[in-house]
Amino acid sequence: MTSPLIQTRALQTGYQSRDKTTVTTKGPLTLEVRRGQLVCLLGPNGAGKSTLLRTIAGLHPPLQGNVEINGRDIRLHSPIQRARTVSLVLTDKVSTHHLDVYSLVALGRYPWSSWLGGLGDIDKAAIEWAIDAADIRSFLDRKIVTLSDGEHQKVMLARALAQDTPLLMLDEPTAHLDLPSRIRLMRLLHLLARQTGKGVLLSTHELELALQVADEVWLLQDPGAFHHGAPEDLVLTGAFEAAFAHEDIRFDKQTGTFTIEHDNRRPVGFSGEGLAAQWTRRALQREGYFIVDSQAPNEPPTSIRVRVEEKSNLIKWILEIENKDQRQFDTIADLLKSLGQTSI
Amino acid sequence: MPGIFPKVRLAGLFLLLFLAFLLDISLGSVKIPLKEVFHILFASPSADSTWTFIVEKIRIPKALTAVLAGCGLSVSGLQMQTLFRNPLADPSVLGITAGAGLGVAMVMLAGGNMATLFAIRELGLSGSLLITIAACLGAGLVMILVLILSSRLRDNVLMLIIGIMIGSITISVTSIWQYFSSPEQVKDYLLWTFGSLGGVTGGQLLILGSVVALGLIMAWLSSKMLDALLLGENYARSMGLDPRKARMVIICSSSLLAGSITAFCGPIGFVGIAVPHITRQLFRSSDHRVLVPGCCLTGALLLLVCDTLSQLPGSSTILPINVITALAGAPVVIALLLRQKNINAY
Repeated sequence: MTSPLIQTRALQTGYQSRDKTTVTTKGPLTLEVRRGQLVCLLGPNGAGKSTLLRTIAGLHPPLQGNVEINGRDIRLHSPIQRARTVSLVLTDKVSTHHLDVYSLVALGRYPWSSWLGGLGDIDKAAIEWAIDAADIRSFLDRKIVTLSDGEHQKVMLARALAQDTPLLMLDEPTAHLDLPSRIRLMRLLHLLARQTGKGVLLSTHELELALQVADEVWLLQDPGAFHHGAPEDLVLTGAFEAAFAHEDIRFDKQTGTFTIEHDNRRPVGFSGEGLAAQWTRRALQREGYFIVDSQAPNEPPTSIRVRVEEKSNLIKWILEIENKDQRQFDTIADLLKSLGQTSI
Repeated sequence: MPGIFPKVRLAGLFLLLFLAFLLDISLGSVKIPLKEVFHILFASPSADSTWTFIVEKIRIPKALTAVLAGCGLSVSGLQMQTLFRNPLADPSVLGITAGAGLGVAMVMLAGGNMATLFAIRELGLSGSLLITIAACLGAGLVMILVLILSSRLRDNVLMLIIGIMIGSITISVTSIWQYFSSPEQVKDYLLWTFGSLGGVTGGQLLILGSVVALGLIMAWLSSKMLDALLLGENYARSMGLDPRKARMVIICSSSLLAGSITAFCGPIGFVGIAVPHITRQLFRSSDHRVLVPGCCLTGALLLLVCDTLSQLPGSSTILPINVITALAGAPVVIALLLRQKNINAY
């Protein structure tokens, strides 16, 4: 095991004004990020994710405890030393007129470039690498203000990569991105951690993606509770569920997804196998039905039953009501429509 | 990235500046043939010693002062706009020039007796040093006050409002001083506020030149920090910028420039706010290693043209420089504001 890149000791974060102390993360937190590790910081809105990130990055003073970079208190590092160890992607939007993409990425070399900002061969090579890694070469000459939110995010990532630090921290990097871009970004960060040995710490709302790529999850809960560990462990211990617990939201431990809980759910008997059956289940759940497996023993009989039959690439949905009325449908939409009418 | 494009523009501006300089010293209330002007400039004194005197002792120092003031005020405005991330910022917005004015008023008005005033007028070098120091102190004190308040505030809009408030207080204090002073002293001060490029000669020009050069060198050295500040303070800090150090360097250089120029030439408006915008449009860049020299050339050019216009070529009347810069600068600012879709994206 290599020594951790960053380590917190008995850390408590929050804000201190003249007459009031607001604790956002109670702690005491003892956490670490190691080389090659991807850590996802999860938590509901307002749980203190950004404050924790900013504190770990040294942009914000801790209330108690300390943060260590390479075994030394972050406050003892010079700003340049710190900037050579941790790079950041923030949620701040850069809207400077006349600033082009290349110049912005080149600004990432700030802690390495000469006193006037002159760039040497090493700097230029790092910029080129960052441009390719973040896949932004196609709009290198554009001005920052003309970029979409997703493009902007990629450029800010490239800037952080050009800074060439062993630790990369990102505050909600997947916000504003479409689904494929989100997946691509997470995969890129995962690969970066694996291939370049960088430590990556990011906050996100993408629970399902985080479960797939994170080596470790830090879970912030609203009243200051905190859990960390492998994502799978957190699912099994119920920490995941507890963190996002809400009256009408349910965490499905089987699939690792959240579903919307409906009031007065009606039971529907269900039978069928394969892909079509799986998606029918989802549709029924979405519409607020409680699914009872018809084949399972010891289940109370239900008045409504749905059956999915798949014969020679032809899918049929069959709806049985009170064992007598039987209707057949070609699409899930038709099934749901008919089901809705019988419910009334 | 500084490519070939900015260099061509800079060279073009430099040529224009040279032509404007020649034009400025060729025109004036006394008609001197262009041939004679060249003769005085590049060869020996003219046959007419009055012409030689006018060109060497009046017109050249005035044109040089215009160049210095144009460079300094534009760069100072650029620094303020970037530091405060506000397209409407200039030194006067934060009360810097009001502070310089208060310093000058203190020396001119509070001196109380004619002996002080006489000393300032007659001693030349040492007198102007006194005014420069007073103006720089006034400007510097206001700026430090603004900075102390700014370190307690995170919001730049609040910061700017507070700057305007401080400027108003400073102007009020100056007004109280004026109220209790004799009409002659008030008139002296009032004339100073009209702005003039003409009063700076010989040793004074040397002092102004040195201070402005120092301020410009500091501004040039601060260009990397200014670039980082374009991304906002959080990003700037994450890249290793020490915000306190950056503020100190930028404000130090900005108040040296604005303070000294205001002290010698009076408060010259609009150059500080208009030229950075014109320069950004001209170079289509946000790189301060391009913008700082760009602002110098554009600002100097603008002020030389304004100075030429203020002499109302062909007549013997001379308008105060402040009137012309406002007339030339205000429409540019208005046009820019109307053209830019996003005013915050300065």
